[in-house]
Amino acid sequence: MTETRMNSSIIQSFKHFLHYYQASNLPCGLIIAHAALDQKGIHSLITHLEKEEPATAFQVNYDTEHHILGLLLDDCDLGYTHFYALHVKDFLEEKDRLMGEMVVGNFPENSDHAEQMLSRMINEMMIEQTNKQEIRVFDNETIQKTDKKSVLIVDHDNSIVHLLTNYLQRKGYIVHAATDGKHGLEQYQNLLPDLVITEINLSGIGGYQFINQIKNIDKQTKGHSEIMVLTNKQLEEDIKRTFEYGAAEYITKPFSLIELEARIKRLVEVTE
Amino acid sequence: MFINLQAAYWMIAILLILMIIFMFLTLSIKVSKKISAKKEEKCLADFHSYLHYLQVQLDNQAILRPPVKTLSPFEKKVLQNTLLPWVERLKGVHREKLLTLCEDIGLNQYNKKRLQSPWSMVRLDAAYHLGILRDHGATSQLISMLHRSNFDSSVYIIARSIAQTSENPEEIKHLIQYLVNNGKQHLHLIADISKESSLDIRPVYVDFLYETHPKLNKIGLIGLQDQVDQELPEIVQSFVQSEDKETKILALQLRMAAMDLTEKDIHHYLQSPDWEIRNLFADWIGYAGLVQYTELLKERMQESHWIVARTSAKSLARLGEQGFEILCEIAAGLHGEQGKEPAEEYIHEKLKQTIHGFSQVNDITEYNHNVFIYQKYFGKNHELTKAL
Repeated sequence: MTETRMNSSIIQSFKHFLHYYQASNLPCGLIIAHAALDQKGIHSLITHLEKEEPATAFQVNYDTEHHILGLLLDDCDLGYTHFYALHVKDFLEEKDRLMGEMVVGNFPENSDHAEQMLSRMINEMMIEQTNKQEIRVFDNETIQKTDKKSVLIVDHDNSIVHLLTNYLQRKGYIVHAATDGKHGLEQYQNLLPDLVITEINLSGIGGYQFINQIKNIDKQTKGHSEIMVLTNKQLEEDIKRTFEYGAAEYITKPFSLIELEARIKRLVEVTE
Repeated sequence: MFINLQAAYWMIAILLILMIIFMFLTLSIKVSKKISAKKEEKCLADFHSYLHYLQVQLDNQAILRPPVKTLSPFEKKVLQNTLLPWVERLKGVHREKLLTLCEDIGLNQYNKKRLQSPWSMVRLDAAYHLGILRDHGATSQLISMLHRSNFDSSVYIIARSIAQTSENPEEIKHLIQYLVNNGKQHLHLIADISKESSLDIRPVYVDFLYETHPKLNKIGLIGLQDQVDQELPEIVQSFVQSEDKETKILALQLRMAAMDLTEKDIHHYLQSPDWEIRNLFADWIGYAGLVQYTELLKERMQESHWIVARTSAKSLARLGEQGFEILCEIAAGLHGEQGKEPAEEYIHEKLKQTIHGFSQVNDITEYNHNVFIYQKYFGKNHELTKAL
């Protein structure tokens, strides 16, 4: 992909600081937002942030040409940077000054090159201009999109779908979701994902039938997807039956995300 | 006549007023529900970025921070309804992280306050949530609540919360004793509640085996079934001799789970005069995949009790080629007429199952072997072979 470099005043302004953090190997957080601000607005924002998080040292710069607000936070991790961005978002929304998305990143958690990361954050924001007023964590993608593994989650439980979608996306997977067996099968036929994570208690089509249908589709398409069952059913009989139907893994709820990820990795890597 | 007509008017008027009142009540309930749902929706929309932050940063080493603004009870309730399902579905470090966040948000205090409510439904709801929150500080309050409550089915909710929050196995022991002594009959449910505890309560179950109350003995036997990695207490053997059939079966199931049975024992129990014991063992052999006992199942298929014969056939179908061949022998009448019917039924069942479950090369091989064995006894022209 050819990258058009955006010459933003934020990069010029933060350059020396970023070199310093990089050279001293000290952590720093970066927040950029597509916002319409004037000098008064910037001043109010600074006052607001100093009041809300007085212990945090930060630098602010506003690129008037591209309408980008940049914040550089001293000595903080990604979690805190993201949390701090919530303050910024609250302020901008309250003043009706937020024009698009916000991006947060952290050196060294997101990238081991701070200046490059800032430059990419600004580029991405300007190229993929969106009206969605949401906070996105910078994804230092080293894997090409085509090399990413795809996962289809089929579960009627929205909590599980949300938790897994966010978790697996952060781990570099392309995630699709369905809340019933019928929709799950439609998705499966269209996507042919590398892995299916499914509940056994499904509406529309039951879990076992769903697995069976997947196997049939695989036969027709000569494809192969691994199936992982993530279920409330804890009986040994269910576990045995699930494996007989061709599932490769069986995890009961409540489950550990770390264990789940390890099992996903094993399945996807084994089938590679 | 006039009086009757007037009474009818009055009646119609009263009925109309009552109808209007009921309509008004129904409508107001509907409207208030809609308003509440809208309010909740708006509140969730306000927390959208915050909830996204929690999900994205859940795996990060840094702690999860509570929202900056002071939350109203309604906002706490909305956050609780979103966060506690996550807590319930996860375990390990991520659950611990969420529990710390819930405490920082003030959900523990919020529910402890609700525990003092004059409304029993609110108190019960608070008890339920304190259990999910694993609030160790709430155990004593929950125990008092349990002792004060009417002994209806809601005690199970309070009991579960006590098991989830307690840090002392003795409290779990007293909890189970309290439930049993007050006439609660659902022993499996009580044992299940005790397993909600994160403590090692094996010693509690072992203690129950030595109690004089037979229900406590049963809970001990049920509880130990998940903990068979250690040697079984000797007393389990005495329960096997028990006059009470339920106790006897539980003790045998425990010994099965622990694989604490010799070949002689299995022979012995498969000859038991009690058909339920014979059935239990016939089922277990198939379930546990004990191929070495296929001949014993063949004998059981000859017996007159049809349930045992069917269970034996079902187990033989689970025991690979060896079991399948015995089923074919019986179905072909090599051992007499007894057991032919269930044998045929499970042969068909097995072939159908393997043909549908062709997911791996192993399945195809197994299927081909089974068809080969089948044709050995029934020939290639048999109707099932044709159908296959």
